Amino acid sequence: MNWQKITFLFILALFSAILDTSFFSAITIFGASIILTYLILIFLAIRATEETFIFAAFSVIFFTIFSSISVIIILLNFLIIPLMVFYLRKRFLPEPSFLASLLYFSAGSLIFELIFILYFKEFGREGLTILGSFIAMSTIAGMIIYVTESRIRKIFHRREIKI
Amino acid sequence: MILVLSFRGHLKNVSFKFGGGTLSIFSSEAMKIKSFFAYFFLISKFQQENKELTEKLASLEVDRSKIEEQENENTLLKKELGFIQGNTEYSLVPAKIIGREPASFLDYVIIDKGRNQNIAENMAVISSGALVGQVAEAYDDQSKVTLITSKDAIILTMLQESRAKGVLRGGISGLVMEDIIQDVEIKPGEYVITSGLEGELRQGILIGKTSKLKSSSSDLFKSVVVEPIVDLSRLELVFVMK
Repeated sequence: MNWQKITFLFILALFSAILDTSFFSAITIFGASIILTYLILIFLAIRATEETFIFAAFSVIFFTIFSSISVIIILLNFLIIPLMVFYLRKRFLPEPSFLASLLYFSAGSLIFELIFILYFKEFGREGLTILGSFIAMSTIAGMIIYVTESRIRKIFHRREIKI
Repeated sequence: MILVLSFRGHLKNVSFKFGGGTLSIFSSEAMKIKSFFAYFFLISKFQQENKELTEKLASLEVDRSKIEEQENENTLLKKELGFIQGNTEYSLVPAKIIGREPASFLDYVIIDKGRNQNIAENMAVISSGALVGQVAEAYDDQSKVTLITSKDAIILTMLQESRAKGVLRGGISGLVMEDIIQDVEIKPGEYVITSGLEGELRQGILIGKTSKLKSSSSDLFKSVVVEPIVDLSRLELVFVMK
């Protein structure tokens, strides 16, 4: 991995953390909002790229700075879960399909928010509402990222073949 | 990672100092988008609210005149009893909200005023005259404010009419005033104010109104749900009480 890629991942992690803190956190549906940093992490893990580890490290650092969440929760959500997705993807699914990616985003979002619910002991109706809303929003946003990247990749691939 | 943890406070200060402008821009754009979509969903609700508020305004005018009369009487009585009134003057520093906590379970906001504008920790933050939070951390030009609805928020309060003391706790389930003694009769709609026992929060700042009773008669203390006066999800501008 070259320094340009590392710099790009650093800027992307910083930008997504700022967006999560200022833009997406202001737009909530049933109490939940999109966490772009996490979606990018899951996406990179689904693609099983080595950038996943670098981006995860930068995400943990920036969320530790911009958020007041406990560091243990940040490590669990932004490091352990994406690495688990990465491992499962490498071992069981060599080629990510649309359905598999949908499942990864849904399951990843479920575990992400469940950790918060368990940590803050919010087992009531409101906690479940936020859980459901977060899963729905994250899965939809995650699949938009996945489909958009797949389409762009196909366009570049066709151009390369023509050349 | 250890380095980051050791210097978390300093890193936050530097990050907010340089990122404050960017946070501000994204936050204001997000509020515009939110308001645009919220408008369509809430049209019928606004019509109903408008009708209720017009009726309420008329009755409030009557109440206002009664309050003025009572204030005059109160001032006179205090003078006669020889009360020395403490200096209750304070200044308000306006601040814009430029960021929020990404996780739903902690309610923090970031405002664009900090130590350079004489903001210190534990100062009260109000909006429309009602308490919305307290300054948790003050950086050079930004501050982090714990909202009253945050899981971390604990405020010493009292009921305005019965003068019963209690503790107001936040959470995603809403605001609950707890540890109220059992023999107090709590009326729905009774105002909840700060008790002034904490030191940093002066007495009498309005927080919300009581809604429904949460505890039963067999519990040691009463708990009541409190509806905040201000809609905290739509906060854009707040004031810090110095």
